[in-house]
Amino acid sequence: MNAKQDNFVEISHLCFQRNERVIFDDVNITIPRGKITAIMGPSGSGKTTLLQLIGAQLKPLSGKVLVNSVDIHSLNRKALYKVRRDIGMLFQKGGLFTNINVFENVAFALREHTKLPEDMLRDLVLMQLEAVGLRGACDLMPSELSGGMARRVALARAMILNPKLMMYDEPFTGQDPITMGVLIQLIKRLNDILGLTSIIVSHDVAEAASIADEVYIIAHNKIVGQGTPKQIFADQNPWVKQFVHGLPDGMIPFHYPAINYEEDLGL
Amino acid sequence: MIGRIQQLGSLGLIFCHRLGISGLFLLRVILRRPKLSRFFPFLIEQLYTIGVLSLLIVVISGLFIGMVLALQGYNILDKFGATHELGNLVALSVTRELGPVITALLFAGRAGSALTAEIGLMQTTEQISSMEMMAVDPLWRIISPRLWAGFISLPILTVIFMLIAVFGSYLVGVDWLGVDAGQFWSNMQAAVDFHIDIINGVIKSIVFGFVVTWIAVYQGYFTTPTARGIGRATTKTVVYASLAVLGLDFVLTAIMLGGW
Repeated sequence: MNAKQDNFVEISHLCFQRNERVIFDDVNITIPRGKITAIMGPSGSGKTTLLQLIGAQLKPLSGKVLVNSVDIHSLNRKALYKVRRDIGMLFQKGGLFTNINVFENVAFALREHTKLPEDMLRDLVLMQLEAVGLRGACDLMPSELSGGMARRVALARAMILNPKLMMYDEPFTGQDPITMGVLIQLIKRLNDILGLTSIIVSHDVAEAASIADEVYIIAHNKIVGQGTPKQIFADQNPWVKQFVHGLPDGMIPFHYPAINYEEDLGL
Repeated sequence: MIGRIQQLGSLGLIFCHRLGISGLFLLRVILRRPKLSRFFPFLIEQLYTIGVLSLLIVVISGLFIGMVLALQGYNILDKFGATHELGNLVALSVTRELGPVITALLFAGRAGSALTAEIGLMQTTEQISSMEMMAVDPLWRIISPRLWAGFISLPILTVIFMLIAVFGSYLVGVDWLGVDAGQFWSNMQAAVDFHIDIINGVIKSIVFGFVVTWIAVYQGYFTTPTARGIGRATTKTVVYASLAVLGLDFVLTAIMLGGW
Protein backbone atom coordinates (compact mmCIF):
# COMPACT_ATOMS: atom_id res chain seq x y z
CA MET A 1 0.00 0.00 0.00
CA ASN A 2 1.50 3.29 -1.03
CA ALA A 3 1.45 6.49 1.00
CA LYS A 4 -1.36 8.00 -1.07
CA GLN A 5 -3.76 5.20 -0.23
CA ASP A 6 -3.11 5.67 3.49
CA ASN A 7 -4.67 9.10 3.40
CA PHE A 8 -8.40 9.49 3.00
CA VAL A 9 -8.20 13.22 2.33
CA GLU A 10 -5.27 15.06 0.78
CA ILE A 11 -5.33 18.81 0.51
CA SER A 12 -2.51 20.36 -1.45
CA HIS A 13 -1.62 24.02 -2.09
CA LEU A 14 -5.13 25.11 -1.20
CA CYS A 15 -5.93 28.80 -1.62
CA PHE A 16 -9.32 30.25 -0.86
CA GLN A 17 -10.70 33.70 -0.29
CA ARG A 18 -14.08 35.29 0.39
CA ASN A 19 -14.43 38.53 -1.52
CA GLU A 20 -11.10 40.21 -0.82
CA ARG A 21 -10.37 38.38 2.45
CA VAL A 22 -7.84 35.56 2.19
CA ILE A 23 -8.92 32.51 4.21
CA PHE A 24 -6.32 29.95 3.12
CA ASP A 25 -3.00 30.58 1.49
CA ASP A 26 -1.15 27.50 0.23
CA VAL A 27 -2.48 25.07 2.83
CA ASN A 28 -1.47 21.39 2.79
CA ILE A 29 -3.24 18.85 4.99
CA THR A 30 -3.43 15.06 4.95
CA ILE A 31 -6.11 13.16 6.81
CA PRO A 32 -4.93 9.60 7.50
CA ARG A 33 -7.40 6.79 6.87
CA GLY A 34 -8.95 5.25 9.96
CA LYS A 35 -7.70 7.98 12.32
CA ILE A 36 -9.26 10.93 14.10
CA THR A 37 -7.77 14.21 12.96
CA ALA A 38 -8.54 17.41 14.82
CA ILE A 39 -8.40 20.73 13.01
CA MET A 40 -8.13 23.46 15.59
CA GLY A 41 -7.75 27.18 15.49
CA PRO A 42 -9.19 30.42 16.80
CA SER A 43 -12.68 31.59 15.80
CA GLY A 44 -12.80 32.90 12.27
CA SER A 45 -9.68 31.05 11.15
CA GLY A 46 -11.62 29.12 8.48
CA LYS A 47 -12.12 25.72 10.11
CA THR A 48 -15.72 25.34 8.96
CA THR A 49 -14.73 26.67 5.53
CA LEU A 50 -12.17 23.89 5.33
CA LEU A 51 -14.89 21.27 5.88
CA GLN A 52 -17.03 22.94 3.22
CA LEU A 53 -14.09 22.75 0.83
CA ILE A 54 -13.58 19.05 1.60
CA GLY A 55 -17.31 18.42 1.02
CA ALA A 56 -17.19 20.54 -2.19
CA GLN A 57 -19.80 22.94 -0.91
CA LEU A 58 -17.24 25.62 -1.74
CA LYS A 59 -14.74 25.74 -4.59
CA PRO A 60 -11.10 26.67 -3.93
CA LEU A 61 -9.36 29.48 -5.75
CA SER A 62 -6.51 27.08 -6.48
CA GLY A 63 -5.12 23.82 -5.16
CA LYS A 64 -6.52 20.32 -4.96
CA VAL A 65 -8.68 18.40 -2.53
CA LEU A 66 -8.51 14.65 -3.01
CA VAL A 67 -11.17 12.65 -1.17
CA ASN A 68 -10.55 8.93 -1.34
CA SER A 69 -8.13 9.67 -4.22
CA VAL A 70 -10.77 11.59 -6.19
CA ASP A 71 -10.39 15.30 -6.99
CA ILE A 72 -13.73 16.28 -5.52
CA HIS A 73 -13.92 19.67 -7.22
CA SER A 74 -13.54 18.23 -10.71
CA LEU A 75 -16.68 16.08 -10.42
CA ASN A 76 -20.04 16.77 -12.00
CA ARG A 77 -23.11 16.95 -9.75
CA LYS A 78 -24.04 13.28 -10.12
CA ALA A 79 -20.52 12.04 -9.37
CA LEU A 80 -20.16 14.51 -6.51
CA TYR A 81 -23.36 13.27 -4.89
CA LYS A 82 -22.08 9.70 -5.24
CA VAL A 83 -18.90 10.64 -3.36
CA ARG A 84 -20.92 12.52 -0.74
CA ARG A 85 -22.78 9.33 0.12
CA ASP A 86 -19.51 8.20 1.67
CA ILE A 87 -19.21 11.39 3.71
CA GLY A 88 -21.18 12.13 6.86
CA MET A 89 -21.19 15.56 8.39
CA LEU A 90 -22.30 16.78 11.79
CA PHE A 91 -23.14 20.45 11.46
CA GLN A 92 -22.47 23.08 14.09
CA LYS A 93 -26.19 23.89 14.37
CA GLY A 94 -27.24 20.27 13.89
CA GLY A 95 -29.11 21.00 10.69
CA LEU A 96 -32.08 18.82 11.74
CA PHE A 97 -35.21 19.26 9.64
CA THR A 98 -37.57 21.08 11.96
CA ASN A 99 -40.81 19.98 10.28
CA ILE A 100 -40.30 16.24 10.82
CA ASN A 101 -39.68 14.17 13.96
CA VAL A 102 -36.46 12.52 15.11
CA PHE A 103 -37.27 9.19 13.44
CA GLU A 104 -37.98 10.81 10.07
CA ASN A 105 -34.85 12.97 10.36
CA VAL A 106 -32.69 9.88 10.76
CA ALA A 107 -34.63 7.99 8.09
CA PHE A 108 -34.37 10.90 5.61
CA ALA A 109 -31.27 9.81 3.71
CA LEU A 110 -32.44 6.17 3.58
CA ARG A 111 -35.79 7.21 2.13
CA GLU A 112 -34.05 9.39 -0.45
CA HIS A 113 -31.40 6.93 -1.58
CA THR A 114 -32.82 3.46 -1.03
CA LYS A 115 -36.01 1.54 -1.59
CA LEU A 116 -35.87 -0.45 1.63
CA PRO A 117 -39.10 -1.95 2.94
CA GLU A 118 -40.61 0.07 5.77
CA ASP A 119 -39.93 -2.51 8.52
CA MET A 120 -36.27 -2.83 7.57
CA LEU A 121 -35.91 0.94 7.42
CA ARG A 122 -37.49 1.20 10.86
CA ASP A 123 -35.05 -1.34 12.30
CA LEU A 124 -32.05 0.50 10.83
CA VAL A 125 -33.20 3.85 12.17
CA LEU A 126 -33.89 2.44 15.62
CA MET A 127 -30.48 0.74 15.68
CA GLN A 128 -28.85 4.04 14.81
CA LEU A 129 -30.82 5.89 17.47
CA GLU A 130 -29.98 3.17 20.01
CA ALA A 131 -26.27 3.72 19.25
CA VAL A 132 -26.59 7.36 20.30
CA GLY A 133 -28.88 6.52 23.22
CA LEU A 134 -31.99 8.20 21.83
CA ARG A 135 -34.21 5.34 20.67
CA GLY A 136 -36.82 6.49 23.17
CA ALA A 137 -36.88 9.97 21.64
CA CYS A 138 -37.79 8.84 18.13
CA ASP A 139 -41.24 10.46 18.20
CA LEU A 140 -40.03 13.82 19.48
CA MET A 141 -39.81 16.88 17.26
CA PRO A 142 -36.41 18.64 16.98
CA SER A 143 -37.82 21.62 18.92
CA GLU A 144 -38.38 19.30 21.91
CA LEU A 145 -34.72 18.21 22.08
CA SER A 146 -31.94 19.72 24.17
CA GLY A 147 -28.81 20.95 22.40
CA GLY A 148 -26.90 17.78 23.22
CA MET A 149 -29.75 15.51 22.14
CA ALA A 150 -30.05 17.39 18.86
CA ARG A 151 -26.33 16.83 18.17
CA ARG A 152 -26.73 13.13 18.90
CA VAL A 153 -29.72 12.85 16.56
CA ALA A 154 -27.73 14.71 13.91
CA LEU A 155 -24.90 12.25 14.49
CA ALA A 156 -27.25 9.29 14.05
CA ARG A 157 -28.58 10.86 10.85
CA ALA A 158 -25.07 11.47 9.50
CA MET A 159 -24.14 7.84 10.18
CA ILE A 160 -27.20 6.19 8.66
CA LEU A 161 -25.65 5.66 5.20
CA ASN A 162 -22.52 4.10 6.75
CA PRO A 163 -20.09 6.82 5.64
CA LYS A 164 -16.38 6.20 5.38
CA LEU A 165 -15.50 9.75 6.37
CA MET A 166 -17.16 11.66 9.22
CA MET A 167 -16.70 15.41 9.59
CA TYR A 168 -17.68 17.08 12.84
CA ASP A 169 -18.09 20.84 12.86
CA GLU A 170 -17.61 22.19 16.40
CA PRO A 171 -19.32 19.20 18.04
CA PHE A 172 -18.57 20.31 21.62
CA THR A 173 -19.51 23.99 21.41
CA GLY A 174 -22.11 25.06 23.97
CA GLN A 175 -22.47 21.62 25.55
CA ASP A 176 -22.56 20.86 29.27
CA PRO A 177 -19.77 18.62 30.63
CA ILE A 178 -21.93 15.49 30.66
CA THR A 179 -23.08 15.92 27.06
CA MET A 180 -19.54 16.78 26.05
CA GLY A 181 -18.28 13.57 27.64
CA VAL A 182 -21.01 11.58 25.87
CA LEU A 183 -20.14 13.12 22.50
CA ILE A 184 -16.40 12.51 22.96
CA GLN A 185 -17.05 8.87 23.78
CA LEU A 186 -19.48 8.47 20.88
CA ILE A 187 -17.11 9.95 18.33
CA LYS A 188 -14.23 7.81 19.53
CA ARG A 189 -16.29 4.62 19.78
CA LEU A 190 -17.96 5.02 16.40
CA ASN A 191 -14.64 5.76 14.75
CA ASP A 192 -12.95 2.71 16.22
CA ILE A 193 -15.80 0.23 15.86
CA LEU A 194 -16.82 1.21 12.33
CA GLY A 195 -13.29 1.87 11.10
CA LEU A 196 -14.13 5.41 10.00
CA THR A 197 -11.90 8.32 9.20
CA SER A 198 -12.91 11.34 11.27
CA ILE A 199 -12.19 15.03 11.05
CA ILE A 200 -13.09 17.13 14.08
CA VAL A 201 -13.10 20.86 13.70
CA SER A 202 -13.05 22.48 17.09
CA HIS A 203 -11.59 25.16 19.29
CA ASP A 204 -12.11 23.09 22.41
CA VAL A 205 -8.46 22.08 22.73
CA ALA A 206 -8.59 19.60 25.60
CA GLU A 207 -11.67 17.73 24.36
CA ALA A 208 -10.56 17.44 20.74
CA ALA A 209 -6.99 16.55 21.68
CA SER A 210 -8.21 13.82 24.06
CA ILE A 211 -9.47 11.65 21.18
CA ALA A 212 -7.41 12.90 18.22
CA ASP A 213 -4.57 10.92 16.69
CA GLU A 214 -3.33 13.90 14.71
CA VAL A 215 -3.82 17.64 15.25
CA TYR A 216 -3.53 20.59 12.87
CA ILE A 217 -3.59 24.17 14.10
CA ILE A 218 -4.81 26.78 11.64
CA ALA A 219 -4.12 30.47 12.15
CA HIS A 220 -3.41 33.44 9.94
CA ASN A 221 -4.45 31.61 6.71
CA LYS A 222 -1.90 28.83 7.21
CA ILE A 223 -1.16 25.64 9.09
CA VAL A 224 0.94 26.82 12.01
CA GLY A 225 1.25 23.52 13.86
CA GLN A 226 0.91 19.84 13.17
CA GLY A 227 1.55 16.64 15.10
CA THR A 228 0.21 14.33 17.74
CA PRO A 229 -1.60 16.00 20.66
CA LYS A 230 1.53 15.53 22.78
CA GLN A 231 3.72 17.23 20.19
CA ILE A 232 1.25 20.07 19.82
CA PHE A 233 1.16 20.74 23.56
CA ALA A 234 4.96 20.85 23.59
CA ASP A 235 5.23 23.02 20.47
CA GLN A 236 7.07 26.30 21.04
CA ASN A 237 5.72 28.01 17.93
CA PRO A 238 4.20 31.26 19.29
CA TRP A 239 0.93 30.80 17.34
CA VAL A 240 0.49 27.25 18.59
CA LYS A 241 1.57 28.09 22.14
CA GLN A 242 -0.88 30.96 22.46
CA PHE A 243 -3.80 28.92 21.12
CA VAL A 244 -3.13 25.66 22.96
CA HIS A 245 -2.47 27.30 26.32
CA GLY A 246 -5.16 29.96 25.91
CA LEU A 247 -2.86 32.96 26.38
CA PRO A 248 -4.86 36.21 26.08
CA ASP A 249 -2.19 38.10 24.13
CA GLY A 250 0.45 37.03 21.67
CA MET A 251 0.56 36.44 17.94
CA ILE A 252 -3.21 36.84 17.90
CA PRO A 253 -3.47 40.28 19.55
CA PHE A 254 -5.96 40.99 22.31
CA HIS A 255 -6.72 44.38 20.73
CA TYR A 256 -8.43 44.77 17.41
CA PRO A 257 -6.28 47.06 15.21
CA ALA A 258 -7.06 50.70 16.04
CA ILE A 259 -5.49 54.15 16.00
CA ASN A 260 -3.32 55.26 18.92
CA TYR A 261 -5.27 55.04 22.21
CA GLU A 262 -4.23 58.47 23.50
CA GLU A 263 -5.01 60.04 20.15
CA ASP A 264 -8.42 58.42 20.21
CA LEU A 265 -9.14 59.82 23.68
CA GLY A 266 -7.96 63.26 22.52
CA LEU A 267 -5.13 63.48 25.06
CA MET B 1 -22.30 64.59 -10.93
CA ILE B 2 -19.82 62.01 -12.18
CA GLY B 3 -20.08 60.28 -8.81
CA ARG B 4 -23.86 60.00 -9.13
CA ILE B 5 -23.60 58.61 -12.64
CA GLN B 6 -21.07 56.08 -11.32
CA GLN B 7 -23.44 55.17 -8.51
CA LEU B 8 -26.29 54.70 -10.97
CA GLY B 9 -24.07 52.55 -13.20
CA SER B 10 -23.01 50.50 -10.23
CA LEU B 11 -26.65 49.94 -9.19
CA GLY B 12 -27.45 48.91 -12.76
CA LEU B 13 -24.60 46.40 -12.75
CA ILE B 14 -25.72 44.95 -9.41
CA PHE B 15 -29.29 44.68 -10.73
CA CYS B 16 -28.13 42.88 -13.90
CA HIS B 17 -25.86 40.59 -11.85
CA ARG B 18 -28.73 39.60 -9.53
CA LEU B 19 -31.12 39.17 -12.40
CA GLY B 20 -28.58 36.85 -14.04
CA ILE B 21 -28.15 34.81 -10.85
CA SER B 22 -31.92 34.52 -10.34
CA GLY B 23 -32.37 33.53 -14.00
CA LEU B 24 -29.74 30.80 -13.74
CA PHE B 25 -31.28 29.67 -10.46
CA LEU B 26 -34.69 29.39 -12.12
CA LEU B 27 -33.22 27.52 -15.06
CA ARG B 28 -31.47 25.05 -12.75
CA VAL B 29 -34.72 24.41 -10.88
CA ILE B 30 -36.82 23.98 -14.03
CA LEU B 31 -34.26 21.76 -15.76
CA ARG B 32 -34.29 19.23 -12.91
CA ARG B 33 -36.24 16.31 -14.26
CA PRO B 34 -37.60 14.43 -11.28
CA LYS B 35 -39.27 11.06 -11.34
CA LEU B 36 -42.95 11.99 -11.15
CA SER B 37 -43.80 9.21 -8.70
CA ARG B 38 -41.26 10.58 -6.19
CA PHE B 39 -41.98 14.22 -6.90
CA PHE B 40 -45.77 13.99 -6.64
CA PRO B 41 -46.04 13.62 -2.82
CA PHE B 42 -43.81 16.67 -2.29
CA LEU B 43 -45.89 18.65 -4.77
CA ILE B 44 -49.15 17.67 -3.06
CA GLU B 45 -47.71 18.70 0.32
CA GLN B 46 -46.74 22.11 -1.06
CA LEU B 47 -50.04 22.55 -2.89
CA TYR B 48 -51.69 22.17 0.49
CA THR B 49 -49.30 24.56 2.27
CA ILE B 50 -49.19 27.18 -0.45
CA GLY B 51 -52.59 26.82 -2.08
CA VAL B 52 -55.11 25.37 0.34
CA LEU B 53 -53.90 27.40 3.32
CA SER B 54 -54.19 30.60 1.23
CA LEU B 55 -57.81 29.78 0.43
CA LEU B 56 -59.35 31.47 3.48
CA ILE B 57 -57.79 34.88 2.88
CA VAL B 58 -58.62 34.69 -0.84
CA VAL B 59 -62.27 33.71 -0.21
CA ILE B 60 -62.85 36.39 2.43
CA SER B 61 -61.13 39.08 0.36
CA GLY B 62 -63.05 38.04 -2.75
CA LEU B 63 -66.35 38.20 -0.90
CA PHE B 64 -65.77 41.66 0.52
CA ILE B 65 -64.29 43.09 -2.69
CA GLY B 66 -67.30 41.83 -4.65
CA MET B 67 -69.66 43.32 -2.06
CA VAL B 68 -67.90 46.72 -2.01
CA LEU B 69 -67.73 46.81 -5.80
CA ALA B 70 -71.48 46.17 -6.02
CA LEU B 71 -72.25 48.84 -3.43
CA GLN B 72 -70.09 51.49 -5.11
CA GLY B 73 -71.16 50.47 -8.59
CA TYR B 74 -74.86 50.55 -7.69
CA ASN B 75 -74.65 54.12 -6.31
CA ILE B 76 -73.02 55.42 -9.51
CA LEU B 77 -75.16 53.40 -11.94
CA ASP B 78 -78.28 54.48 -10.07
CA LYS B 79 -77.61 58.13 -11.08
CA PHE B 80 -77.90 57.07 -14.74
CA GLY B 81 -80.74 54.63 -14.19
CA ALA B 82 -78.49 51.76 -15.24
CA THR B 83 -78.45 49.56 -12.15
CA HIS B 84 -79.29 46.53 -14.35
CA GLU B 85 -75.72 46.82 -15.67
CA LEU B 86 -74.29 46.02 -12.22
CA GLY B 87 -73.59 42.40 -13.15
CA ASN B 88 -71.39 43.42 -16.13
CA LEU B 89 -69.54 46.03 -14.12
CA VAL B 90 -68.58 43.62 -11.39
CA ALA B 91 -67.84 40.66 -13.63
CA LEU B 92 -65.66 42.59 -16.06
CA SER B 93 -63.73 44.36 -13.26
CA VAL B 94 -63.14 41.13 -11.42
CA THR B 95 -62.23 38.86 -14.33
CA ARG B 96 -60.03 41.33 -16.19
CA GLU B 97 -58.16 43.11 -13.41
CA LEU B 98 -59.13 42.75 -9.77
CA GLY B 99 -59.19 38.96 -9.68
CA PRO B 100 -55.69 38.27 -11.00
CA VAL B 101 -54.03 41.32 -9.43
CA ILE B 102 -55.52 41.21 -5.93
CA THR B 103 -55.18 37.44 -5.65
CA ALA B 104 -51.52 37.74 -6.69
CA LEU B 105 -50.91 40.50 -4.13
CA LEU B 106 -52.61 38.46 -1.40
CA PHE B 107 -50.63 35.41 -2.50
CA ALA B 108 -47.36 37.35 -2.33
CA GLY B 109 -48.20 38.56 1.18
CA ARG B 110 -49.44 35.25 2.52
CA ALA B 111 -47.67 32.42 0.69
CA GLY B 112 -44.70 34.29 -0.82
CA SER B 113 -43.49 35.70 2.48
CA ALA B 114 -43.99 32.32 4.19
CA LEU B 115 -41.97 30.58 1.46
CA THR B 116 -39.08 33.02 1.80
CA ALA B 117 -39.06 32.81 5.59
CA GLU B 118 -39.21 29.00 5.54
CA ILE B 119 -36.42 28.54 3.00
CA GLY B 120 -34.37 31.32 4.62
CA LEU B 121 -34.65 29.63 8.00
CA MET B 122 -33.64 26.32 6.46
CA GLN B 123 -30.59 28.07 5.04
CA THR B 124 -29.77 29.74 8.38
CA THR B 125 -30.09 26.55 10.42
CA GLU B 126 -27.92 24.58 7.96
CA GLN B 127 -30.81 22.33 6.89
CA ILE B 128 -30.09 22.97 3.22
CA SER B 129 -26.34 22.39 3.68
CA SER B 130 -27.00 19.15 5.53
CA MET B 131 -29.31 18.02 2.72
CA GLU B 132 -26.54 18.75 0.20
CA MET B 133 -24.07 16.76 2.27
CA MET B 134 -26.54 13.84 2.37
CA ALA B 135 -26.33 13.89 -1.44
CA VAL B 136 -29.89 15.18 -1.80
CA ASP B 137 -30.29 18.07 -4.21
CA PRO B 138 -32.11 20.90 -2.38
CA LEU B 139 -33.16 22.48 -5.67
CA TRP B 140 -35.08 19.33 -6.48
CA ARG B 141 -36.26 18.47 -2.96
CA ILE B 142 -37.02 21.94 -1.56
CA ILE B 143 -37.29 24.53 -4.31
CA SER B 144 -38.85 22.69 -7.24
CA PRO B 145 -42.04 21.46 -5.45
CA ARG B 146 -42.61 24.94 -4.04
CA LEU B 147 -42.12 26.64 -7.38
CA TRP B 148 -44.51 24.33 -9.20
CA ALA B 149 -47.04 24.46 -6.35
CA GLY B 150 -47.11 28.27 -6.55
CA PHE B 151 -47.39 28.12 -10.31
CA ILE B 152 -50.38 25.75 -10.09
CA SER B 153 -52.07 27.30 -7.04
CA LEU B 154 -52.39 30.93 -8.05
CA PRO B 155 -54.53 30.44 -11.19
CA ILE B 156 -56.90 28.19 -9.21
CA LEU B 157 -57.07 30.70 -6.35
CA THR B 158 -57.74 33.46 -8.88
CA VAL B 159 -60.70 31.61 -10.39
CA ILE B 160 -62.06 31.01 -6.88
CA PHE B 161 -61.59 34.70 -6.07
CA MET B 162 -63.52 35.68 -9.23
CA LEU B 163 -66.42 33.35 -8.41
CA ILE B 164 -66.66 34.48 -4.79
CA ALA B 165 -66.46 38.17 -5.76
CA VAL B 166 -69.33 37.74 -8.22
CA PHE B 167 -71.29 35.93 -5.50
CA GLY B 168 -70.55 38.79 -3.05
CA SER B 169 -71.79 41.35 -5.57
CA TYR B 170 -74.93 39.26 -6.10
CA LEU B 171 -75.62 39.27 -2.34
CA VAL B 172 -75.35 43.07 -2.16
CA GLY B 173 -76.78 43.97 -5.56
CA VAL B 174 -79.69 41.54 -5.80
CA ASP B 175 -80.50 40.46 -2.24
CA TRP B 176 -79.89 43.79 -0.52
CA LEU B 177 -80.25 46.61 -3.07
CA GLY B 178 -83.00 44.94 -5.11
CA VAL B 179 -81.46 44.66 -8.59
CA ASP B 180 -83.42 42.15 -10.64
CA ALA B 181 -81.69 38.77 -10.52
CA GLY B 182 -82.54 37.93 -14.14
CA GLN B 183 -81.09 41.20 -15.41
CA PHE B 184 -78.04 40.82 -13.18
CA TRP B 185 -77.12 37.38 -14.57
CA SER B 186 -78.26 37.84 -18.19
CA ASN B 187 -76.41 41.14 -18.64
CA MET B 188 -73.33 39.60 -17.09
CA GLN B 189 -73.55 36.60 -19.40
CA ALA B 190 -73.98 38.84 -22.44
CA ALA B 191 -71.07 41.12 -21.55
CA VAL B 192 -68.42 38.67 -20.40
CA ASP B 193 -66.50 36.92 -23.15
CA PHE B 194 -64.95 33.63 -22.12
CA HIS B 195 -61.77 34.08 -24.12
CA ILE B 196 -61.17 37.83 -23.85
CA ASP B 197 -62.11 38.21 -20.21
CA ILE B 198 -61.83 34.93 -18.34
CA ILE B 199 -59.00 33.22 -20.22
CA ASN B 200 -56.93 36.41 -20.32
CA GLY B 201 -57.46 36.83 -16.57
CA VAL B 202 -56.28 33.27 -15.98
CA ILE B 203 -53.25 33.82 -18.26
CA LYS B 204 -52.34 36.84 -16.15
CA SER B 205 -52.63 34.77 -12.98
CA ILE B 206 -50.38 32.06 -14.43
CA VAL B 207 -47.69 34.66 -15.15
CA PHE B 208 -48.13 36.23 -11.70
CA GLY B 209 -48.00 32.84 -9.99
CA PHE B 210 -44.73 32.03 -11.69
CA VAL B 211 -43.11 35.39 -10.97
CA VAL B 212 -44.26 35.68 -7.34
CA THR B 213 -43.10 32.16 -6.47
CA TRP B 214 -39.81 32.63 -8.33
CA ILE B 215 -39.09 35.80 -6.35
CA ALA B 216 -40.08 34.12 -3.07
CA VAL B 217 -37.92 31.01 -3.47
CA TYR B 218 -34.97 33.00 -4.82
CA GLN B 219 -35.04 35.44 -1.91
CA GLY B 220 -35.27 32.56 0.57
CA TYR B 221 -32.49 30.51 -1.01
CA PHE B 222 -30.04 33.41 -1.23
CA THR B 223 -30.88 35.01 2.09
CA THR B 224 -28.14 36.26 4.41
CA PRO B 225 -28.18 33.55 7.10
CA THR B 226 -29.09 35.78 10.04
CA ALA B 227 -32.37 36.80 11.71
CA ARG B 228 -32.07 40.24 10.11
CA GLY B 229 -31.29 38.65 6.75
CA ILE B 230 -34.49 36.58 6.85
CA GLY B 231 -36.52 39.65 7.80
CA ARG B 232 -35.06 41.63 4.92
CA ALA B 233 -35.55 38.79 2.45
CA THR B 234 -39.20 38.42 3.47
CA THR B 235 -39.81 42.15 3.06
CA LYS B 236 -38.07 42.10 -0.32
CA THR B 237 -40.29 39.24 -1.48
CA VAL B 238 -43.48 41.14 -0.70
CA VAL B 239 -42.22 44.43 -2.17
CA TYR B 240 -40.61 43.01 -5.33
CA ALA B 241 -43.47 40.59 -5.98
CA SER B 242 -46.11 43.30 -5.55
CA LEU B 243 -44.26 45.69 -7.86
CA ALA B 244 -43.66 42.93 -10.40
CA VAL B 245 -47.36 42.00 -10.36
CA LEU B 246 -48.51 45.60 -10.89
CA GLY B 247 -45.91 46.26 -13.60
CA LEU B 248 -46.59 43.02 -15.43
CA ASP B 249 -50.32 43.63 -15.20
CA PHE B 250 -49.90 46.80 -17.23
CA VAL B 251 -47.71 45.05 -19.81
CA LEU B 252 -50.03 42.06 -20.13
CA THR B 253 -53.13 44.25 -20.35
CA ALA B 254 -51.51 46.32 -23.09
CA ILE B 255 -50.63 43.15 -25.01
CA MET B 256 -54.08 41.62 -24.54
CA LEU B 257 -55.92 44.76 -25.60
CA GLY B 258 -53.72 44.90 -28.68
CA GLY B 259 -51.93 48.06 -27.67
CA TRP B 260 -48.57 46.48 -28.52
